[in-house]
Amino acid sequence: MLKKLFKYDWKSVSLLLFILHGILLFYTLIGRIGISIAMSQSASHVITEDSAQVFGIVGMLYVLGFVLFIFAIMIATFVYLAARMQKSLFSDEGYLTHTLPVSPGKLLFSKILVFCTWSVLDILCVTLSILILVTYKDTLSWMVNDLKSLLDVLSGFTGIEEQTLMILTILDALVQFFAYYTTLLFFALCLGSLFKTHKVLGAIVSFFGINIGLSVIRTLLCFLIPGLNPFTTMVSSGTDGSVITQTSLGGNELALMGFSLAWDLVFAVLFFLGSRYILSKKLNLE
Amino acid sequence: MSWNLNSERPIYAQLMERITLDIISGIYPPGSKLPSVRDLAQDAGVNPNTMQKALSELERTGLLFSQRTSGRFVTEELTMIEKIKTELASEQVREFLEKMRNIGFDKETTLQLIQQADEEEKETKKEDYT
Amino acid sequence: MKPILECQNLTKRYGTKTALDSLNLSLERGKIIGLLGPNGSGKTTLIKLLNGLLTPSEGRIFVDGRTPGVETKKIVSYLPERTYLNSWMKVCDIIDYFRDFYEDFDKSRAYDMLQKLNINPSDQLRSMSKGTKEKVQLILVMSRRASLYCLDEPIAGVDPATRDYILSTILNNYDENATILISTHLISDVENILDDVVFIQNGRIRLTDSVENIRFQQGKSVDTLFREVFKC
Repeated sequence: MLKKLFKYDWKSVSLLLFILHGILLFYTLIGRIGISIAMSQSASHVITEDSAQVFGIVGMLYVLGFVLFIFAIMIATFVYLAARMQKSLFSDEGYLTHTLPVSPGKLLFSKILVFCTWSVLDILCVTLSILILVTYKDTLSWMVNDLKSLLDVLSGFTGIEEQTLMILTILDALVQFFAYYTTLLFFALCLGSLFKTHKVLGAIVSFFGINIGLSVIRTLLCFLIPGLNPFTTMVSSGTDGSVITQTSLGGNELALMGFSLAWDLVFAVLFFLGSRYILSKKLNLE
Repeated sequence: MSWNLNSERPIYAQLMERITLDIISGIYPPGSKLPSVRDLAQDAGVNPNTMQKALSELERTGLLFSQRTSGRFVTEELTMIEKIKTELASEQVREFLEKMRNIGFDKETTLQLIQQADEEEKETKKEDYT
Repeated sequence: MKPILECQNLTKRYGTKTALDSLNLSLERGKIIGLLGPNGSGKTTLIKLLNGLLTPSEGRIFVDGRTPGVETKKIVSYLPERTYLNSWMKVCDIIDYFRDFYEDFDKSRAYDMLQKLNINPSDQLRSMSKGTKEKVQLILVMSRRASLYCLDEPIAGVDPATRDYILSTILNNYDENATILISTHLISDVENILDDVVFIQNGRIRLTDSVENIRFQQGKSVDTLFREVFKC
């Protein structure tokens, strides 16, 4: 059943998203070709004062456009997916969705999977675009070096603590991105559906409200719980016998990251269960 | 022919009347097989349960009989069919005479009117041929 | 045999408004039943409750002895009042969709009906007229071999020829093991195909009886009785 749900959820969103991302890649290729032309021209010294200026302006506009495009596409992907999910669950289409002989948990999970899959594709596409534009003989060596240092840390070359920290950081980023924010979105959509009117507004308010609320609480907790404080104080004695207290940022990164990971995981699960509860027991389709 | 069902009387009774009429007028000859309940119901535009009830009632009266899995058949007892035919016809005559009496005609005038109508019909038939 | 539908003190409230008020009802299998009442009487609420699209405020509802859930959705085929077919799909896609999720879906029957109504399977649902979408929805619902069919206002807003077609499709696909629940306020059109009727008003049952009984004992059509019972 889950496979079938995924198949149809996927089909309902993919066409538009594929086209959008295709356009991004196309735009990127144009840029790449443009840069190549510019480079070959400058290499063969064919450039005049004016044509250099034109290239400069066009280049700037292009880059501006590119950056805007990237932001727009990431936001658009998120919003489009969210809108389609909302429609499938809570609009007239909900009459079709909720009379299927499948449990609400599966309905949710299938949509979460589609959401995550497209998020990954979106990021990959954006990354690919950026790489296409910035990878050249000169820049290649820098990129390889950066990659090498990252791998060193990950393989424990620079020490166990740094390795654990890096792994936790990456894990936390993944969990936050895929689990926490996705389940938060669905939970917000479900909460929004509980409002009699303005379901979408309710969802948006819920999403940002919960996000901000939880962030505030989390930050407070970090300051309150010893060992999690982002600031560490060191007490030492000075050469003249006085007590020096130094407060600096850092020192508890490992604990903080671990806490963050646990927090995100727990809430991701809570959001999922909350969404499922609303769909099973509190559903009221108009 | 459409079934023309009256919405104020029970449907099954009207279905029974119509099927009886079809039998005595020869549309369903004695011994012939009736269409299935579903087909009849579809034709009449009624619930198959209602048609089933009508047919069961007719079975009870003996006008129809069912043979296990082969379906329902019209009785072969010609006497019964004749009897029903006559009864129906007599009923019509009685109603007609009652109506004529209500208009104010006695039996003799009524018979004369019938004669006249018959002759007029023959005349128009002759004209059609010439 | 277990009744196909059972409501025990079923109540549904929307804020201050009570849509269903301590409703008690039991429906036998194998009948075509009319759920008749004026607009706002609770017909659609009852149907949505038995489909699991709403949750009761109080009381219980059982379909084939179970509370509405995955198992009941397998045996209930629902035709809502509104059109829910507005998606990216073509007709053939939605047919595959139904076939994928419902074991009792008869694909050949569906294509047969589409052909009779001159609907092209490769047409986009988005681009169809409202009337055609309603016909497709009806075909999808009637192509399932369900135990309970719920048709919410299947003939309202439809031309007389289509109305006849819908009623004869219902009769055609009728199975004596299945129950068909038709909710409508167009009574004279459907009375001839109903076995029983349930009159509902203000969330309460006013009357349950068979059509034949009403005609026999009261000498009136159900339509006439309805007008009397629900006189404004």
